[in-house]
Amino acid sequence: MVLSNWNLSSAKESKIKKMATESNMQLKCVIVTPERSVLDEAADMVILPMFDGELGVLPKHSPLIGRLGKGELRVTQHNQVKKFRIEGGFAQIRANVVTVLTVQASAN
Amino acid sequence: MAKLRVLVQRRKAVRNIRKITRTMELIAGTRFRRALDRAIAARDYAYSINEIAADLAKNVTEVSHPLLIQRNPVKNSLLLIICSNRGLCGGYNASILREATQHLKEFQNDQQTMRLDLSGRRAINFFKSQKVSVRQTYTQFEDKPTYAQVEQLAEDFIRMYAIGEVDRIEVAYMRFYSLSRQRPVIETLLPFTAEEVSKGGGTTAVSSNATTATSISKSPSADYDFLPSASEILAEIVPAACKFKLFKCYLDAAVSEQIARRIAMKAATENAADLIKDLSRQYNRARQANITREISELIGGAEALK
Repeated sequence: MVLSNWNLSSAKESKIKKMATESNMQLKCVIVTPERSVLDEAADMVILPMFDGELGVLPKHSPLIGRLGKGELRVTQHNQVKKFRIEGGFAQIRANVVTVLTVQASAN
Repeated sequence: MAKLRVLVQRRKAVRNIRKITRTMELIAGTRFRRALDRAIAARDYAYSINEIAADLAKNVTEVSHPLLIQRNPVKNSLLLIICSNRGLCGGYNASILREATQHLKEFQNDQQTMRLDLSGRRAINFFKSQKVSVRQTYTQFEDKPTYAQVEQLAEDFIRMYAIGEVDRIEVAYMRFYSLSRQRPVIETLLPFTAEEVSKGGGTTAVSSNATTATSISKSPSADYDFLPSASEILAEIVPAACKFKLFKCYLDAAVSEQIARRIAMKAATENAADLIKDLSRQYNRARQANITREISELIGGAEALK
């Protein structure tokens, strides 16, 4: 009984530790089109143009699959903003990785 | 003497041909590398769309979409044949056309109507000589097919399928398996199969490695939120996967064409080299025979003067 309790607490501890390291983790933003990979780098924040408005993504965002609309995608890293024009597509957020699938993505 | 001059001329002609084929081989080589890079770049997209579709499939109880429904019986179908615009690429076009005509014959036996869409001047000329009527022809696809071009074509196909003008759309093209293996295949583009959605529109040899490598690292507990909803995203992703599949066909065709051309031109260059060697030998022999004859004539003349 005692043993199992100890096990539980250690499991909790490791989970907390893992969460702590994860919160230090940065987002990774990947943008791919059928013709090439446009972007694959770390980011502090990603703002996605969803079909119904903009969606800001910070590290530790919950897993999400969403449809993108036409608009501007912004990737912020060290106060520098990269902007891309997106023409629809899909976005997937999982394990601090934002994957953007789109037909057309041009930097501007 | 006349024979000598002919030999020299022929040798010169063959040398020029060798120069041309050698250059074409080099050009095909660089174009091939570029086409392969594009095919590899498309792998990332294939992998991502595949992952999203697989995760979607887990969350949607019933996968249904107009493009996924199999129609029975199939009355009208459409076959798109992807050939090259230019020749001099060995058996590339011939093997695709052979596969396609065989497929057409089977259909004629089944009493179904099969319409043809042709891509590439080689295919167009072939069916013109066969006097087969054709629905549409395309010549805009070269060694660098762009997604925008292919998308137009795919949208046209999807529209035709959606309004029931055709019950099945197939594509005949040269599939690229590896550097040493390309095969003509006929694949069904529409109706799209549900497995294909989660496979991201068909994987090629290039993409399969990446898929297996990353699927291991996939965390099992991804509880997704869907915006707007899983079924709505599915409705969007099916046409996207279908368009991408056609794009992949074109990418494969471009890579295979350049490989075929490079091999054909390499063989032609080697043949030309052999021919030059042969002609040189004949030339030297003829020249030597001429000299010997002249000497013996001289000696004969000198003897007669004695």
